[in-house]
Amino acid sequence: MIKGKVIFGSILFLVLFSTSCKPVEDDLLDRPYNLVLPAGFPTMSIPADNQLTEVRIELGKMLFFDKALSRDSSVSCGSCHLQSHAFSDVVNISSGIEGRKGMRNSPPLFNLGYHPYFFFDGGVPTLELQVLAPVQDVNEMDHEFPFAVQRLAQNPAYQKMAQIAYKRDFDAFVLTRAIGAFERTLVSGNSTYDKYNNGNSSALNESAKRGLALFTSERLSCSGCHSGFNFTDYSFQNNGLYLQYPDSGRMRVTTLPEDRDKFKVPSLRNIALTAPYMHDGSIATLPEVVEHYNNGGAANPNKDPRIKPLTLTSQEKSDLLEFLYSLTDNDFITNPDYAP
Amino acid sequence: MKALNFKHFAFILLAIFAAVSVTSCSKDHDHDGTGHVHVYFTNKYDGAAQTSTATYTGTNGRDFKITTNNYYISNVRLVDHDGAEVPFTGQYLLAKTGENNELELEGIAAGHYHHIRFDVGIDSVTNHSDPSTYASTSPLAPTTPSMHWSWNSGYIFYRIEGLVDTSAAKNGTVDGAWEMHLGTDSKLASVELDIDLEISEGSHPGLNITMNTEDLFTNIDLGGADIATHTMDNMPLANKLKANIAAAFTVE
Ligand code: HEC
Ligand code: HEC
Repeated sequence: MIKGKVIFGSILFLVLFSTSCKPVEDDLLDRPYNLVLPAGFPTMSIPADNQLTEVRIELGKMLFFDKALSRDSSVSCGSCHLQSHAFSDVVNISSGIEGRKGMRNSPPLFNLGYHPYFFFDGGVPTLELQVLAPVQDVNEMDHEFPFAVQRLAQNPAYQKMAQIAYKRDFDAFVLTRAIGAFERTLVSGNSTYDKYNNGNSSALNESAKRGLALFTSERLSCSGCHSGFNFTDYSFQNNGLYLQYPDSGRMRVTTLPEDRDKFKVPSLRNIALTAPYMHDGSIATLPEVVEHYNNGGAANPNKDPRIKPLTLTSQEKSDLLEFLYSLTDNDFITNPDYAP
Repeated sequence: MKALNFKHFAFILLAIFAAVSVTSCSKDHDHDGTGHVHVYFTNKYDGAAQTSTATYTGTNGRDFKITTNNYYISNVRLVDHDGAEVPFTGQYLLAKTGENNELELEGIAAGHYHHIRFDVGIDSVTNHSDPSTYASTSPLAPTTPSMHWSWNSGYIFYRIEGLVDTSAAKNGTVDGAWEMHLGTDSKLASVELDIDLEISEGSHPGLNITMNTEDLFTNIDLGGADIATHTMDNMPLANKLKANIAAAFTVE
């Protein structure tokens, strides 16, 4: 895994002594990083211009937790994306600088390298491009991108790491690539459910097993949208939260009426850790989410037909919840490689 | 201001081609037979230089100011006497008020050119590229004020904004914000202007193009529903702005 402290230490050492020592071959300092994927996960495609290396990832992590990205140096990426909550936030709408509020719930960050696009409306195609958004969003970091880059470029450790990792001065490319590299290492796939799925048939209790069967049943159809190893097909769907949504979702970027009020299907991994739920954080707890699906949701014109009253018994509800709880990966939220 | 040559190679090819085709009839074998053109874009309002401090009065009697007036010029082509287009692909200009917005077109075969064509905006391939991959000196790199949408990745083709008198009485208090940010692939605006351009070997004439900013506001009220658009959130206003662009440019 990432030998964060060691790398940072050696970089500090370099920064402090590079003038007095014999120059060290920079190439020796960075090494390709071997991303270890959980059993059953497909290979992750990593852009040619941002292959993973140890220093890239370490630099990305430092930037992720650096408040200097925001205009008044008060907010970092990590302020809204908390490791203890699978890199989501505990409030329905996170606060940006000066306590400003945007309009959407901070989603968890894991297995991002598999996402075909980002945000609830899918408006951003790559992880690197995504970095531009929170830095410039008036309700998040409210910083002109060139100014953020200029400020960070004054940090000698960042300059040194940029040279080692990307063989260039610290710039917009380095900032976006390094954060993207760190984010691709945020891989979560060691939940109780995964242990069961990988052959340990006693990992799930009987209730969770019944919940899994319900989840994949035609009657509930949860796995129709929350499908595959990451529990999402990344499609845009309406699950009947409201008759009229204040946020038009996917339509915001396509202007197509058939996309109105549709949101990217979220992964359900670590779902017990990521309350409150939905794009606006409007549902506070998991039992309430199950209740929402059981009721069949509001009669929105674009609601998917699979969202309909389910007439679940209270035993079925608690079985479904037991299964959802089994999707928590405790190793992910305690992994020191992801901590500042 | 900043112009950029991505496809230098294409120009070299073009230059070689021009050189080869010209040498056969040219007396001077030391040169390649081409000239170049300096194209300048100037933002004006009613014939005078547009400034960010001046107060203008719209046709509806509303006073307003224009604090930002930035746009991309790309896909420049010269049209020769046979109607053939000479393209200058890979060259982008980010034009701004009060700056020397110069685009240098090189390697132009000697001859007479009757039209200049260009787009206001960015072609659909480049529009979906990543600004961080361009050198910081490129007009396509992250800039301030931003010419790129981060929540719906793509460039802002035209960014014009300022302050306006929003009072019902139109009493001249210019303190309300207005802004029009035009972008997305379908909003690329094509412009064609008549020119009378003679290129001979080694010549480098200037071509002055004016953005008559007042013409951008045809049918736009800068009040009510016409006070702001980021394209997707106010398509009618975005469409009006796009429709006004082609006629707003003139050659001096
Ligand atoms: C003020 C809180 C806040 C800050 C600061 C913040 N984010 Fe976010 N993040 C959000 C919200 C809210 C969303 C969902 C936005 C949407 O879908 O429109 C989000 C979405 C994301 C996504 C997309 C996840 C997905 O599944 O589509 C990524 C990746 C991400 N943020 C990374 C970052 C990075 C990197 C930074 C720092 C450069 C950062 N965030 C800073 C609140 C924040
Ligand atoms: C038609 C597709 C679809 C089906 C079927 C579906 N969901 Fe969802 N689910 C979604 C979408 C879309 C969202 C996000 C909606 C939003 O943010 O407005 C969501 C959100 C959720 C969330 C909240 C996730 C978060 O991070 O906020 C949970 C939990 C959930 N679904 C569980 C289920 C369960 C359990 C079932 C089966 C009873 C189910 N879903 C069936 C599409 C679907």
